[in-house]
Amino acid sequence: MKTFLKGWILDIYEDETDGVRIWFITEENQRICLKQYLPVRFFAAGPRERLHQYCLAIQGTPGLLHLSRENKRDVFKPEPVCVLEIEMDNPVRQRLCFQRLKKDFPDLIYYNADLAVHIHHAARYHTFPLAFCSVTYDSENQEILNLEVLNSRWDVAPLHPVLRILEMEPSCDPNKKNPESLRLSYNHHTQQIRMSDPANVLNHINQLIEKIDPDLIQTKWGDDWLFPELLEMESTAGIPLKMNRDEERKLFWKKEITYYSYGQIVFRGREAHLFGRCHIDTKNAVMWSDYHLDGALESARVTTLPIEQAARVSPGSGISAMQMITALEQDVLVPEQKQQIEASKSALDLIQFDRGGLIYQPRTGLHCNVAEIDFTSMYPAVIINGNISPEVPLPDGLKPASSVLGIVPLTLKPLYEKRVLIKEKLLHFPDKSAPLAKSYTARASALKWLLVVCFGFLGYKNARFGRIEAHEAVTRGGREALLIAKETSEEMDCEVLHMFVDALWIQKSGCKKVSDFQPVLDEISRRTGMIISMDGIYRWIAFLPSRANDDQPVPNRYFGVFEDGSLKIRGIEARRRDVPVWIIETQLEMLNCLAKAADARKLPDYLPKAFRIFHNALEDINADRIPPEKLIVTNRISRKLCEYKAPTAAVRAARQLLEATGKNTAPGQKIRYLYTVGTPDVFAWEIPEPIQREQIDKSKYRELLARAAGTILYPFGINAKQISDYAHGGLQLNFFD
Amino acid sequence: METNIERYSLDKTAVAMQQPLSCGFFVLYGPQAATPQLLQLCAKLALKNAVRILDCGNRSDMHLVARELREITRDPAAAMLNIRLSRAFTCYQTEALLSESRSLENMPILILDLLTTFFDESVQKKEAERLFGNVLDHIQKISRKNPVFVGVKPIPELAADRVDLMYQLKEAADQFQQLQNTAQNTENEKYQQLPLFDSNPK
Repeated sequence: MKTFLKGWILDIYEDETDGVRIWFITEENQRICLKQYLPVRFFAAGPRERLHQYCLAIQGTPGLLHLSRENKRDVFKPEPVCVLEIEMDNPVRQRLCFQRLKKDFPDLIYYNADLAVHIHHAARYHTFPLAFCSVTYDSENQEILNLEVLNSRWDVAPLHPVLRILEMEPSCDPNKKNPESLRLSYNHHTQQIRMSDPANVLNHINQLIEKIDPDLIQTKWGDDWLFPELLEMESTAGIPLKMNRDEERKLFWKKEITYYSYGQIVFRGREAHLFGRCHIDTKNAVMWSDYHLDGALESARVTTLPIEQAARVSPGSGISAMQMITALEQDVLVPEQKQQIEASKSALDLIQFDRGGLIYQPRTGLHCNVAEIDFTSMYPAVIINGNISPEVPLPDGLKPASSVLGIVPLTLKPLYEKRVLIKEKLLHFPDKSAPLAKSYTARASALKWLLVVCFGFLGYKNARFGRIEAHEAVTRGGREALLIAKETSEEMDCEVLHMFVDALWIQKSGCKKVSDFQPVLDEISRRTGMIISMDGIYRWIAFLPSRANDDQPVPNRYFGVFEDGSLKIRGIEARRRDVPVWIIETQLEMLNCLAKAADARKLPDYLPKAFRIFHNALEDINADRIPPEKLIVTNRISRKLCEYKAPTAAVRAARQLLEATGKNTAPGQKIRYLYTVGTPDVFAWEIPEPIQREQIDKSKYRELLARAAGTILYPFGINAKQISDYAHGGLQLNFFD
Repeated sequence: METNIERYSLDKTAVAMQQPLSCGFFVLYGPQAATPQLLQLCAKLALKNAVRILDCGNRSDMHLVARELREITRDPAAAMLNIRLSRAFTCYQTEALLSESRSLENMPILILDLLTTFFDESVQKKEAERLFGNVLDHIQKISRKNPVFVGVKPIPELAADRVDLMYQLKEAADQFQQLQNTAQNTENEKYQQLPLFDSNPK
């Protein structure tokens, strides 16, 4: 019988029998799973003889619907390519067929062959996670007869269903010791269950899941501790764990990986995925600390990645998915492997083109009434305005060389426009801590990260639509825009103190208010065709030199106080993730003290107070008043532990942990440790025994603190050596009068 | 047998100043894939000849070449124009780049860091081996009409299972030279020291 529903898509995945299974949250707040027939096409190109052999080999493959010869567009080729089109009745069969035949025909070029099911579905039906749909289906076999999406990925204020969220969290960090209990929270109700009785734990969780039927299970350490622990309990107690909403499915494990990203080795732990509901391990979600659930849902929405995946993966995967959908919508082939090569260029051309962003070293020292202005999403704007894409002629500067938008700008344009609109909406919130404002901020942040990576993605080796010349064209456009901004500022009597890729720090005699600088901003926008906005006006700002050489300015290392008293800091200890919390807190406390000065002339009044904060912190460490957890240093291990010839403190700690507990720290993983006196000189934090206070190397921590304090006091004429001597009791500074 | 690459390159360059280099497939094995030495050689060759660089490891530091040229010529820009280069960032691109270069004739060709893209963990070993087989075929063809210098670095621990690629390369090359200081490479990384790299050329 034909039945009709309206609802939001929660989860979509492939199924060998059904094609795809889609879970909806209906307007009536019901959860329903429907199935849909989804035939999928992929393509192969190569010599005619080989394609003929391929045709013979594929005959009789289960699920094969159709074979034909077609001419299609490959973005890297000027003319359409002749391809063999293979249509399969089901995404699972398509994947298996491709994998099987690629072994026998590795020399052929494949297109659209390895795309995830959500990409095929999004390209055909314009679906995305939490898309609001109108569905007609057969209620006897649950088969979808018609599906129409009623809203868009680009809606600024989309209507979402209320998700049922179950939070699960162990009583302590399982890396440190075995948690004794598990905290379960739902809708402001919290329960605690002890981990000692597996049958009780499993029964309790199963009952709770059955009762509340959550859409999202949000865990801490769910991927690497909780789910493995529960599965072990399942096998010992013989009670099945019912985490999936789709009862025919088992938990799906995605393997851990180590890979290089932006020159840094990254470790991503294994992931536990569910069917019919989502699992997010907030400790294994790359951007969680930055934009939480609102940002993760926004990311899923615009990229079409499943919510579980969007919360965990880096933004590059999202951009990649979006580009593939754009390509499919434009009937452009998505290559399985990119094979196009860089056109030959001379050595002189390489020097001229292969540069990064433009940097103009700062004038070190303290400056007053400085405006920081920056281009809004500069590189995405350069890509869109300049129409920079691998398949179109590239611009020499900011003006496009072609009027028809390429795949990359076509993908980015709505994303960029959506972020600008959300940022505009945010301006109208008087209270930025209001829940809706926070949600907009998180969503803007998610979009920002997608836009940030889109530039790097043009030069990424595995990007399907990447091209190194396009990557170079973006930086060329960025340099051009920044130079125009500099020249414009100077023509309008501003002094440029510092430039860094997309931002300028400028000063103009008598100008202290945003409106004073507005004409400069307007003129830069007019000349570049790009939005440039005021980040703020600093009451005072200190640009710092290199730590190794006072005469050497370094870019992007500064701290300053805006007109509203808020701080902005870059490149100093408080921004670093490896620095102990105690040092960060002390440095921030010193900065907040200085920030109270109404203007630079009042700073001398606050310097003794800031110094007192440093002095007190020294007394605290000397008197053992700092909790050890605030002294933890965190570093990433970049190689296998056995590969280090001269082990750093972090490696020594990782080896200590391995010896003490058998727990290995893989390349890309972080190790937490403390400095200790004697041998060994480090203590791996995850070793179960407690650390004794007398073991802590106070001298080392005094030195680290002195460095952080020296950074703050440098612009006021106090040098690092003096601070260090003071910290170790070798120098008296009369600062408190 | 000469194992010092600096002497080797200077000797070859001296020859290059007088007469064309002989065709062949020469592999230089060392830290940073012997790139500093190859780029030094490139600068000297570019004084009089067109040179082709096929960069498979993002190692074309043309500032280094320019500095080298500035010491030996008053017109470094003219020599820089003699150098043509293309970069490959994946093993598929490396294969395509070398396939396209099969028609080159009478031109010194420097292939920088040939193996790096084949260590990519996202490409299956079998696929990397298939592509590398094609690559060796292309280089052998190219080296019949051109002198081809290939730079390679020791295999990193993470790619130790792909050591066969190095064996195949050594087997295919006309000459395989190892830098003396390979064990103490300047990238400060410990690599698996392979037993097959004695200093005897094929």
